[in-house]
Amino acid sequence: MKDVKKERLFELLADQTVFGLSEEEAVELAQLKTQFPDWEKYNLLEITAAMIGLSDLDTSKELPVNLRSRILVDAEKYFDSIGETQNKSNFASDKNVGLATTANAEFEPRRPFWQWLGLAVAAAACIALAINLWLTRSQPQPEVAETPKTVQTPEILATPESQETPEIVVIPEPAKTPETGESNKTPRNQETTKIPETNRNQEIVRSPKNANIPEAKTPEVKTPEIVRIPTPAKTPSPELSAAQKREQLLASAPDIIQTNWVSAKDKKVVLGDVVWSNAQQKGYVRLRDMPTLDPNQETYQLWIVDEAQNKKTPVSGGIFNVGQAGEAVIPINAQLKILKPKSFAISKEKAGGVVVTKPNRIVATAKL
Amino acid sequence: MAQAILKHIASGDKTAVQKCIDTYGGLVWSLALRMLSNSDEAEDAVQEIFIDVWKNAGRFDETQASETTFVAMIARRRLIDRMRKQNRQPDIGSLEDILAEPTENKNRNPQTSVEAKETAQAMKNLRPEQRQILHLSIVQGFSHQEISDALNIPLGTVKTHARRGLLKVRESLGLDSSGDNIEEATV
Repeated sequence: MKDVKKERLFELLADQTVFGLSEEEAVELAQLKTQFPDWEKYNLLEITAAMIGLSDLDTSKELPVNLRSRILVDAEKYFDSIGETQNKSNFASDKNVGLATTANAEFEPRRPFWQWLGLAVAAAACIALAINLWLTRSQPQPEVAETPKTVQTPEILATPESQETPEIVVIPEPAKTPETGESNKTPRNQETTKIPETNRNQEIVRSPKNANIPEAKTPEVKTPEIVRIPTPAKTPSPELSAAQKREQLLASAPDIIQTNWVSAKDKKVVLGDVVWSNAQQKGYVRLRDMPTLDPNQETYQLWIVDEAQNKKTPVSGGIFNVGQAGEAVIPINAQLKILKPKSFAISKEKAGGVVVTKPNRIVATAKL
Repeated sequence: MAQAILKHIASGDKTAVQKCIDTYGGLVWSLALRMLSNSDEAEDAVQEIFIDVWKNAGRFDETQASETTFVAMIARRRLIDRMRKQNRQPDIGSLEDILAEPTENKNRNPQTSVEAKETAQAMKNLRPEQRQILHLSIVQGFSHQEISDALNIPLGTVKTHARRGLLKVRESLGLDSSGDNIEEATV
């Protein structure tokens, strides 16, 4: 009996290491561990898995310089948060002590005054906007351009001497002047920037694990509570249909690409096309007289083959169904940023969609 | 200091951070690029992994594994979480590709290189299907269901191959400290 349980313990430990466990399996494993208090000495499976992962790894790739800088900033914040005695105010100036001492010449955590001024203005604008939203929350808001993520960054809302900011209001998509948005958005590949990417730092601060980590570069600022409010209802006056949005995209996107669906071999003829703007990362599938599927049983799923991906892994573009005969226009919902689209495909899958499709499930393709 | 970096970090020595990034940055970056296949996503993951490394440095036990393996283990956990959120489709590749001998050892870290060589040898001793499934699951991070769908074999068989293969590699690497014949007990 004991051996059977021990076998099961090993099975679950191995499954946990390789694939992860379901909730029931995790409970079972926890119970078995209590019966075999010395289970750890038999384990070491995770270490084995890590070594397998190293077995054919090409480690010749250099860590990007900007990424390295961001890691150093993260480390500074982390060590500060655990009560290190390092004087944070000397971080930038004391080249012999700080983490960024010899990191690279480009890493410069301090901001010049004019940048702080800009941030202070942005902070004031955001607070005013939050008040405005609060006061006018029941009123329809015009649809506005997408707000850059950096608006969410606590740093942006902090003033240089920063009085304690009572609350940061994270506003996902409301009105924001385009020029402010662009200037705040630090491109990931901007090698020459002297400012660590606020976007990244914000993400780490936002993470629950690091919620109490203070900003390394703004030691006087108490990390404020981040309060996320729902996106104000995007209430464009009148809501455009998918077909109208498709037309709008066709008219406005200079890089638009358009290609027709070709039915897969032995499959029903598929009529329609796909349009895609890589710059806007938007696109629409148009289909005519596509058979309607029973939504409880099946769904259509769109795939995008991106030539720029390291692996030949089609990116899911979302699942959809068509309600009735005639023309259907479906927005593409790419799960990842598409860099270099090569082709599109529609497959017929079980309800809910899949992460893995097979060639015999493809009903149509559209090649560029 | 190669094997004492994590100890320094655990004790709050900030000066060890740069050494840690110098030593393991390429390793973590390579792992992230291999599993996530999207450099933006990989950059985010690498930042998270290093924070995990700072946090878990105190748990490193040099009697169980090298620092390299410990860092790789932390990286793997984080990358699998992220990869499964990506909804990525397996690039199964052919069995021949997976069975092919590595043409060149591109590990520049000597410690990684030694361990990689030993592990590659241990992997070579596995049955082809065990090797393929361990490659898909551990190296590429796919779930048992994804592998089952992609290879068109039952879920239970996928798990069995993975368990047997993993235990066999562990024994080949001398990580079976119990002295029991675990494979026989398990499969």
